[in-house]
Amino acid sequence: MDSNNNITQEQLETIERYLNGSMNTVELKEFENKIATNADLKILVEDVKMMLLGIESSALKAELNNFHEEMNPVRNLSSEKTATTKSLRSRFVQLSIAASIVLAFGIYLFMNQETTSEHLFAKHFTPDPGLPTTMSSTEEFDFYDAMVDYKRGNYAKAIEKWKVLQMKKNNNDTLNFYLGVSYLAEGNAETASKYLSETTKQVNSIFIEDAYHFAALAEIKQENFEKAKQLLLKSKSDKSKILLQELTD
Amino acid sequence: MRIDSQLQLVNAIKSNDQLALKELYQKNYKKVEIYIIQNSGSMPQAKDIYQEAFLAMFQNVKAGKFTPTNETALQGYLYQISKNKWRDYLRSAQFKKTAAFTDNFHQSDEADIFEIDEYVENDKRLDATMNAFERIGDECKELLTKFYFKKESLRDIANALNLGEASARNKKYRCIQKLREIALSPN
Repeated sequence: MDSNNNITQEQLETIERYLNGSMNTVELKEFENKIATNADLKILVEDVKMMLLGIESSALKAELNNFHEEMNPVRNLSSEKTATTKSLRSRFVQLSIAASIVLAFGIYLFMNQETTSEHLFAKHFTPDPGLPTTMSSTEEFDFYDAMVDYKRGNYAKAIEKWKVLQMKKNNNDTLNFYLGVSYLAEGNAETASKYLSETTKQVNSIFIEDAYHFAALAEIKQENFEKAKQLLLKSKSDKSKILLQELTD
Repeated sequence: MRIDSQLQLVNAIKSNDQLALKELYQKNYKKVEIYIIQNSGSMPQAKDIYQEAFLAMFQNVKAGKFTPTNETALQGYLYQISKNKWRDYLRSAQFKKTAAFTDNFHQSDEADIFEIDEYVENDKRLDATMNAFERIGDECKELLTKFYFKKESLRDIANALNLGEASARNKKYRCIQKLREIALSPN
């Protein structure tokens, strides 16, 4: 290291006072004269200035994710559930009826475990209410466009649109989550598992709890009850606890 | 004059006013997100680009390289840096490798008012300091953040650390030395 790299505590504090404007007029004049005549000092001042900017930038950078997270609206699942569209509701009724029929036939045709699978799945699977689509009409927004289809229960259409986006950014937790739930709503539990497990890899995702829950439902549909239990253990939500309880009974 | 509010904002940024920074960040994100998503980007990419742009804006303002000329100058500046950074990314080899197609840019209704060729952030010393900062240990990071970014007094910092003021002052100096040492070393 050359001598330029060393700075004494006094030098540092003097330069800091110069940079943050806390020198009085006399001191400031003197210091400015020194800088004008001493090239080494001038370099040192520039160095400290950059270093302090670096510290402040690093500190701000660490803060930006907090700014970002606080900006995202917290999804209120219970209030959005009441706003579920009619088609979604009738779909659920259809699903329940279908499940009841399967259940009735199941007694004769299937093994006891299969009935459990269908029963639990039908009882506990309601598609996620989705994200609020509040974009103004002039703003083309592929993601929210597909969300509208999703909310209407057009899962196949939503899948088609999201898959285009997904090809470009396959590590997006939001996309993977809604693709997973859509596939599950379409009855394709295997593919659903694939997408949902991508979401659960992102531990900081706001979808993490829901992703574990839906991933568990996908496993239930595939009759992998042990796998489902393990996934449910990772979700802290009440609905997962209830499902786990029923699965264990 | 509305431009006063811009000057106030610039001063708030210069003094690291946390609330002003947060508000500026949050109020201008959506526009950038929409722009990036319309131009082949994803939400995580929008976030990354915006954060880079926000830092660049911060650094340029702090370094006195930005002077507001109208009442939304700073917001426009932030948007423009974001756009430039996204275009740079789309032109980059990394993007061309991962995307087989090239979308046309959606035309923006705003003219590109700012010629931003040179960011302060390109300064090597700044990069070196920021990299070094991540390697000085949590104690030093916290102390330097409190003193230089949050502008807490040495006395408050000393109290929080259960130290005398003189020890805190000394510790601060040693953290700075450590930071310089790492930043100036070749690796």
